[in-house]
Amino acid sequence: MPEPQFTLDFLDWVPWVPRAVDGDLSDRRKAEIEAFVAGKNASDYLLVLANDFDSLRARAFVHRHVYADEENVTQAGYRELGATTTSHINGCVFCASVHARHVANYLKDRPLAQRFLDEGLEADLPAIERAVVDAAAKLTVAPESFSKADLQPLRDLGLSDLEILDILNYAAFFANANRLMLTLGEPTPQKKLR
Amino acid sequence: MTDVIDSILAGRRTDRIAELRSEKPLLATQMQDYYDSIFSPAADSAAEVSIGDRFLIAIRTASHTGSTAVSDWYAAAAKESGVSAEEIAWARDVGTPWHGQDRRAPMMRHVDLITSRPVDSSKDDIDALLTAGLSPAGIVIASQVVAYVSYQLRLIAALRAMGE
Repeated sequence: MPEPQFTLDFLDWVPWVPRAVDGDLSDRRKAEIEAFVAGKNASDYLLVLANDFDSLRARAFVHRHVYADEENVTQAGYRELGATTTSHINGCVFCASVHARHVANYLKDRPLAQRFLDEGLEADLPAIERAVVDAAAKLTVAPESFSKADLQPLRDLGLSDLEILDILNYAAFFANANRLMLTLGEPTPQKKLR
Repeated sequence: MTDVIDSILAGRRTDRIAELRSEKPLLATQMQDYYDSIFSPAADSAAEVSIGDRFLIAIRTASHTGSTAVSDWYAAAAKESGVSAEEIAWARDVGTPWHGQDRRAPMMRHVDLITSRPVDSSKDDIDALLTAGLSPAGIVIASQVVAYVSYQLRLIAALRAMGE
């Protein structure tokens, strides 16, 4: 397989699996799905997942919650960097693009986001960002040997356990999102302006 | 009220983990709701991929990362729902591809791909599943099981480390 081409640009996503609305549906289910998807981004992706509507809906609540906690934008930036780390390792160009843009916005550092996309785990990073990337990477590739020692750099840099759990939970969530995005369709350059 | 993550943590669930989880009550209940949507499905969903097969997929995904506590938990659930010991043993043995020739064979081989090498997935893989007679719902359900467990086992690993 060719190396994934990571980018900060906006991407579209085209499904490989027929969308729920492409098949036969009861009027009731069709209305439920249309109401659910209305106004959301990546609607073709949601319409593929809507082939099993209950799991789509339950997953959406988890997804909304993992990034909806109140906190400062710097913490949000670290969390997005963890998500970008998972996505980079898994080769999910679509997810990495979305979440690297969030890193750039929250940390107010677009060069850092670009450097991380280009160079991945080897990129030169400030101390906290380095510790976030290392912890998220370990959780992605070797969850079974993830231990207290992997938390220590973040604790030493002054992050609370709740902040660390927030980052790790979000990084873990992308083990989920990357697999769905990578295996049910593919990213394409964006055709329309948002 | 069952909480599957607490149940898998079992003896490793320290007071510190309980305290941290209680700070995020929504996360706990929504993860459980997500679990229920996959493993206690409505009848139309269960007709696409059986509950026993869902547990087999979960064992397989957890076994790929050597997440023993998670695969053991799903193996017990599979056994309880009537899955044979042979099939459970296969699911744990990630070195052995699914050898059955039944209609589940393409789905089970796809599970190995999307668990361990998702970036190598292609449209051809999906087309092959559709040609083999798997429905779009069946493909999505198998993918959701893999995706759910891939997340769950990492959240458990993170919690366990925090409780050490």
